[in-house]
Amino acid sequence: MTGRHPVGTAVREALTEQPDLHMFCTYQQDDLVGLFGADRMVRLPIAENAMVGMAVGMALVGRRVLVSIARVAFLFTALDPLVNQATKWRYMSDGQFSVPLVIRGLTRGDEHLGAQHEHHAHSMLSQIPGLVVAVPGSPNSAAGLLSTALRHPDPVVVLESPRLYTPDWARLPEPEPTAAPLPFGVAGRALAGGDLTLVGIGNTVALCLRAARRLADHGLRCQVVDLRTAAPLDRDGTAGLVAGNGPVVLVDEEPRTASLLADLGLHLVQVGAVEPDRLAVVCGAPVPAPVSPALLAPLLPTVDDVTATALALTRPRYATPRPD
Amino acid sequence: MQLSTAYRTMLRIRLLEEKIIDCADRNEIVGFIHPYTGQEAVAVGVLAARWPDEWVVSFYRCHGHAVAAGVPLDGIVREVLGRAGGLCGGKGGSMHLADRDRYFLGASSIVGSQLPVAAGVAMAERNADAGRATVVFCGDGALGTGVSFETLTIAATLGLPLLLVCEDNGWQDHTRSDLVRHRTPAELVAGLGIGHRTVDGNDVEAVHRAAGELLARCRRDRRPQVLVAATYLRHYHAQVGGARPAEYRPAAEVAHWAARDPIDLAAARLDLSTDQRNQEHADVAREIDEVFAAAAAAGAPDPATATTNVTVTPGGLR
Ligand SMILES: Cc1ncc(C[n+]2csc(CCOP(=O)(O)OP(=O)(O)O)c2C)c(N)n1
Repeated sequence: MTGRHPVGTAVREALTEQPDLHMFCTYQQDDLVGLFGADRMVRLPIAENAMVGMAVGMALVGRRVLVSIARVAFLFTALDPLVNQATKWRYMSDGQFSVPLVIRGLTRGDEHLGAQHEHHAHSMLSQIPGLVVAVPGSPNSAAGLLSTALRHPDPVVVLESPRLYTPDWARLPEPEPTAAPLPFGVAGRALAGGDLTLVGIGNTVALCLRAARRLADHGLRCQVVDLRTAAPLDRDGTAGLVAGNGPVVLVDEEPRTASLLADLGLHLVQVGAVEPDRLAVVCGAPVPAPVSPALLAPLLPTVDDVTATALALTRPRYATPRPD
Repeated sequence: MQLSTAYRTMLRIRLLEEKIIDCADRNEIVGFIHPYTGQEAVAVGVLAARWPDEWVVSFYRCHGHAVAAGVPLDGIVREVLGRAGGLCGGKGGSMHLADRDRYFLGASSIVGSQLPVAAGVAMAERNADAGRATVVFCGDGALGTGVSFETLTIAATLGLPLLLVCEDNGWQDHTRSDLVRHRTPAELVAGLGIGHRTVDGNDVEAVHRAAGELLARCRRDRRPQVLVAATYLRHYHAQVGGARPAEYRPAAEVAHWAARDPIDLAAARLDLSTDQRNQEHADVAREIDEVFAAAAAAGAPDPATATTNVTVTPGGLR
């Protein structure tokens, strides 16, 4: 995969296909203005609150808006139109209105921008009823999830790690073979393997793939599951994938107390997909993002953490009695 | 304010920033930098007019504000380079400098968010009744945010001694301000009925005089005031990683402002000879080189400090 980023292609295709689709941004891309005109590619001041609110209004009367919010950090200045408006109108009006709105924003990953700019938000946003929260783990899944979002009838936030846009994005671990639209609420298998399962979301999908490679050196064949959307979260699909597939390690960069994956673990145990002592959760620390790399390193799960946890889980359960 | 002192401070900011840009080019800086080159006269002129115990609230383009507020270079450089001994322990970085000892309250990297924070400080100061004002800096793009108007309305209604310094460099990131705003910052503020002055932001003496008058009014009348300083960035909006952004502004505009450099203007007014300027330059460059050398030798902050100064959820870290 080289050349144009698949997300750019997905955006252009949707704009071509849907004349009622608009884009709001503070920083305009000239090529898109040239293709689609300034009425559809709307340049706005730094006013995210008004921007999201206006997108709700446009959407209520039949347009569709893609808001490029740049960073999820800036979406926090626009939570009222997201939480109180965008996600409520279809329900409140008993279906008379709907709000097909998509917000794209960068989360965090290797940029060292500090506590105000670097956020994971998938668990927090997944608490808002009526909102789809897509968390792509690779450039192709970002395009696939965005394509679906741009045709979805309700508000969607697509949380993209800046890692997906690094200059060497084409060489990232790429579990999705194509940029084809991906359904919401359906976890995918990023790697097949029968000895144990690693479950990731967003950045941790690549982390799980790297850990799987390491574990292969220990003779273990790992399955890696990519959750793809935090809301809806594919509890039953994941249970189906992990059942009978050995121990399970759930990996999230968000803190344990907020992590959706910890809750998913409870579900997996309750439905009997995994035994309680064959399940582990590896999470990030409940600490804001520091700028200095030396400080950041101990706060996020690493390949070592995942590998060590997996190895501990796959050890024989009962020590064989020592012959006297 | 002594012009020679102001000149020296502007030069310290300029050479500090140029050295930071060099480091960024070599990929030695983590995260964003937003250089202040070209706008030095604003920070230096304004902060020479504040009382030393008046709070200063800044934003991500904060290195120059910090230097002008008297923050030691060593702490700034270590913080920007992510080294041990940084002003904020390596947690804040380039965009979030803060120094309580110098009443430098800190810098927010969310555009506009510093305004209500500063108004809160101004309210506390008004209630303390010591006659102190509060200074807050922002770019002209920040006046696109709703919260800036909310803040100014509240500050006017409550009578808060707040000086808002709007550094109008005509751009907000890669977007020209007049493409997204139909009125100048001064017109917007005038519409709110708030006292304001527009000043040549590259003339440190003019900035200083205007800031002095507005600060006196803030303190005496307990009213918000706005200083709009027309200025320009010599380099660019921001850099992250080793590659500088390509020039995005018209060449004629860049050249126009380059010919009105605030440091050159001050040197001309001081009637400095080329030799004197070279000497000043060499002195400041030596100071800055020493600071960078010490920072480079300092090593990384202790990873154990990553979890200090935050309430961690009971039950441990991970
Ligand atoms: C709420 C918010 N939206 C967007 C951004 C991204 N951003 C950072 S700086 C900037 C431009 C700000 O321009 P201006 O206020 O004029 O200040 P300048 O950088 O020119 O000094 C933008 C859009 C941000 N940091 N915060």
